Amino acid sequence: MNTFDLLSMKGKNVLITGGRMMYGLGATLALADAGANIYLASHSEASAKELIDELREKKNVKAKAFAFDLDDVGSIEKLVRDVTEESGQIHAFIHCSRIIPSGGVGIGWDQDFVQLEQSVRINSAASLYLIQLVGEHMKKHKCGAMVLFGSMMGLIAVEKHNYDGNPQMVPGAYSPAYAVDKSGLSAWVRHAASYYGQYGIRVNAVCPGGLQSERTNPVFAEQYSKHTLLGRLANTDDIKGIILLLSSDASAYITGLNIPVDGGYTCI
Amino acid sequence: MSSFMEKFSLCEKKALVISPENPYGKEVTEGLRSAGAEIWLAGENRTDIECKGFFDYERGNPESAEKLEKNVREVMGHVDVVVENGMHTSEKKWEHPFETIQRELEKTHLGMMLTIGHLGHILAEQKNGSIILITDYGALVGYDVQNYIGEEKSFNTDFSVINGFIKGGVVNYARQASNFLAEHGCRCNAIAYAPMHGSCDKEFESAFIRHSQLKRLAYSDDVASAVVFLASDASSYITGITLPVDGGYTAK
Repeated sequence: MNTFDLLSMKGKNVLITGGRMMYGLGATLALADAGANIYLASHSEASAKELIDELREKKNVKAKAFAFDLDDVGSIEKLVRDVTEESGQIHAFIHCSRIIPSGGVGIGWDQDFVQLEQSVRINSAASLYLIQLVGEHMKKHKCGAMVLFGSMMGLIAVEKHNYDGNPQMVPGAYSPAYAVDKSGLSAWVRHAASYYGQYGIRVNAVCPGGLQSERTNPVFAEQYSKHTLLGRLANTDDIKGIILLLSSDASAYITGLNIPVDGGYTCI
Repeated sequence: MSSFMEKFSLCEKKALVISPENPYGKEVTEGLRSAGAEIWLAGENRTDIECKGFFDYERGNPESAEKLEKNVREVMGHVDVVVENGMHTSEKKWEHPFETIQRELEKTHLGMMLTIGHLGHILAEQKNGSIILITDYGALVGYDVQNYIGEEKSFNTDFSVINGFIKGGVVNYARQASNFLAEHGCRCNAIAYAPMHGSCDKEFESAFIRHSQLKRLAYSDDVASAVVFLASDASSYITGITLPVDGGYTAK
């Protein structure tokens, strides 16, 4: 089969959460470029309108937004129900959504209980529940590709001196809850790939490193970049190729992987 | 005993084992005791494991974690070895309602962060101590469905949607926690055990052994040796690792 046909997402329905910003946006645009019908789970239909219009007009794909809140079990169930009804079948599922826990700021050991609890309940438990519901749907069709967002910070510990001069960044970087959540996800990818394999469902994760944005602190960027082999932070284009590969039939024999997308940061 | 062999000794050290009622808890505790450690336990249910003292501890409850820290300070005085053995779920089958997933993750992951968060304060002040997080080989590889053919009971036990997630969260937490603790002279490591001899159905056992390198399951001495090593000064330059103790199962 022609390689570009394998990579094509034409006629395939993709459910993506958190697909409106940062890495998630890169993923949405890549899938649209490949011709996928995009089912975008977003905070509200209004907030997604601009992107949905762009997908329809510039990428010429079917696109629809669904209001979704990871902190609401009813909303998770409704999302999967609505998207399966609307689309008939979810071929690929990209889970990028997560909440940034609220509560007081605490560093390391002293991370606020509110933050720990929210991270476990919403980022871990609610995500697992959502993925499980999508899995139940895919089992019926005996096929599907799941691409989950892990993180470089689920694979390695924080390099302290990357944050020298930027104490305000330390609490986020030193979150034990984030490390546990992403590390759990990385192992779960293998656990789930093993279970879902018998149903023809593939499960993989991308584990991106730091993303360059307008708000990135230049001192941090410089210190961090020295630890990457390619000498820079990531941009949203960097995620596109791997998302498309893992979502499409081009990776039909790939399952259970965690793929770092980190400029080589975790390999030294 | 040669001076090097003394490094393995836990004589005059105090060890606290959290959730000893779970798998590996008894073997880990007896191992620490046999190396000379004074044994303290904390959990929701008392077991028949002998100990110097027992603290009631409700996993995932912040007040209970705070109380545990207070008890350890006041009753134990200091603690050299902390073993966190709470990464266990007894939920069966793959699919579960949200409430079950949440409850199990609060008992395990949230419980671990609270336990280590609080006891870590004590270790950091002492400027010494070793934390050991107990998990199983599911932290490193997926459980193999082929090993469970004909063993629906074992299959349902290991293949809950929650299980691999629980086991795997330990791996990078050990790295992250070792990072917090290092500047205070303390260490944190994890152990990923294979199933124990006699703990599984026969069919599963022979299937697992077929895929292992040493052609057997773990004996209690295997479980004990690893935890004594990581608890003792014999491993004083080792921190942040997950040590597989699995007869080579994850190495092939």
